[in-house]
Amino acid sequence: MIHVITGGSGSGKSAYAEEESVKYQEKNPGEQMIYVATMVPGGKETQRKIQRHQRLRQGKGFETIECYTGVEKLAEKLQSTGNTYTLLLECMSNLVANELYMEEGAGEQAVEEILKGIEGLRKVCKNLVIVTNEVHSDGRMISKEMEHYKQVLGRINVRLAEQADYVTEVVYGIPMEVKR
Amino acid sequence: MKLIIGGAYQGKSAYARSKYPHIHWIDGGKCKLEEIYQAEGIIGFHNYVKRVLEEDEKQILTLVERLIQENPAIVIISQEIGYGLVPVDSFERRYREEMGRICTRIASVSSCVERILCGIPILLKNRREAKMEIEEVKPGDIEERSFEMISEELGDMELIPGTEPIVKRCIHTSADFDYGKNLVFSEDVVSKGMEAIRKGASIVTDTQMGKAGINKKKLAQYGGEVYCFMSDEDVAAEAIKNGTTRATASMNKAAKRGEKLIFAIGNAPTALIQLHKLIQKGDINPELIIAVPVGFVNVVQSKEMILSLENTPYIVAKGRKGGSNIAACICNALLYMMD
Repeated sequence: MIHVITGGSGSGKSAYAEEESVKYQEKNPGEQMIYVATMVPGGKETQRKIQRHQRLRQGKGFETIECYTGVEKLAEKLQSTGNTYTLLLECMSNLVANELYMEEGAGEQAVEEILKGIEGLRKVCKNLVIVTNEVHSDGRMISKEMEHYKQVLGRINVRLAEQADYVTEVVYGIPMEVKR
Repeated sequence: MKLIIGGAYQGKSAYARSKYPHIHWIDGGKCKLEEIYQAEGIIGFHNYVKRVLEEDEKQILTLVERLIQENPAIVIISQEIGYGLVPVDSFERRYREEMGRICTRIASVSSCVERILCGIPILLKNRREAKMEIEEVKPGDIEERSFEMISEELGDMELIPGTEPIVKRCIHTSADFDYGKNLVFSEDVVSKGMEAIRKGASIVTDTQMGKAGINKKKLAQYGGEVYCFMSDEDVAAEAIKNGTTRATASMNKAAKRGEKLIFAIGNAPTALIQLHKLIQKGDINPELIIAVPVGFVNVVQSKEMILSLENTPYIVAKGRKGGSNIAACICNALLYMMD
């Protein structure tokens, strides 16, 4: 089962995604719950963001795995344990940026690599919750590079939603069903 | 608190002004920062938040909680600014994120959240405020007001044209909106039912309660009567003799009358099962069967049997719900539609 959660900035996507993951996990007790963190700790602002997310997750039973690029490798590692998981990946907008701009990233192959990674996770995760970001309703053309980023994330979002069982847009904390 | 959101230039203010015509609005881009705590409504709340960040940043921490405390009835109109790439400018980033968090908190306490897109409101959240104020409604207007509320809450749920008064009366009787979905009508059953009444058909119920609930005066205008044979001595005797329910025996008694009959069954699945049998054998040809027993044992199955009838007009409440009151209310709905 794949549940894709999207929304704008500060809209409560994470809180909702965590709630949903916990609900899915409760239906499969004994299954391990994993949080895949994709934000690279850089300056103070991202540190604060990461800390805020850590506080939010506290006590909910997630094991955190950091994965900035190469989700497929992570999937392989999980597969080798022989277990199944409820996995929350947060968030696609960071993962795309990492794959595009980090040295070890997939660069031009970002779309294919990420989708392969998701396919791999799907095999080991009974429940796969993916948080992404709606950054496409902003008419400004900031730079060619940013436009490319939007295109890559947009393509991935479309492909994820195709595969997803549920797609939800969280608007100021209110979950809106997009697909079920 | 009420929240109206949406992108820029989508008609948020125009919508808000027409929805709340008596509200005095302040402009978030110009008002004094203190004014928000007394205002009836604020337009451009995003501009207000931006100004707080620029003019007196500390206030941002207390803004929402103070607003909830001091001005819980305010109507807030705000642009959604969180849908775009993360801004490069750190102030813009902060403003965008704060707006999200603040509006999320406001939405969580709001009784109504609407999003305007191309001037069209989309309802995201609607909770009737737990007001325990008594509504002033004249005795003669209570029913009309109830039906108004039912129509409002039904929203744009699609009902089969011509069946609306029946569906709404069932909801009116039970306060259960499931009747918007679970009533099944055979083809042209409403006009066929009314035609039968007009020609003097009588109604057979399977409970005294159902009989009591039907408007007998109205029915009598067309020559019909309401029968309930459940407490008849011959029915009791036949039931004992054959080891059946009285409802089964009642249907047999009805079949022997050879007159135009509408069956309003709100209680006994065995009545429906027997009717089905009598129809198959050609012993009875009802003008209409209102099949709405409530309960558990054989309730669902017996209704499905009625749904399988090809030449008998029916109104069936699919599933477990129904009751004698619902059976009576469907009869009355038909009678009132004939006025």
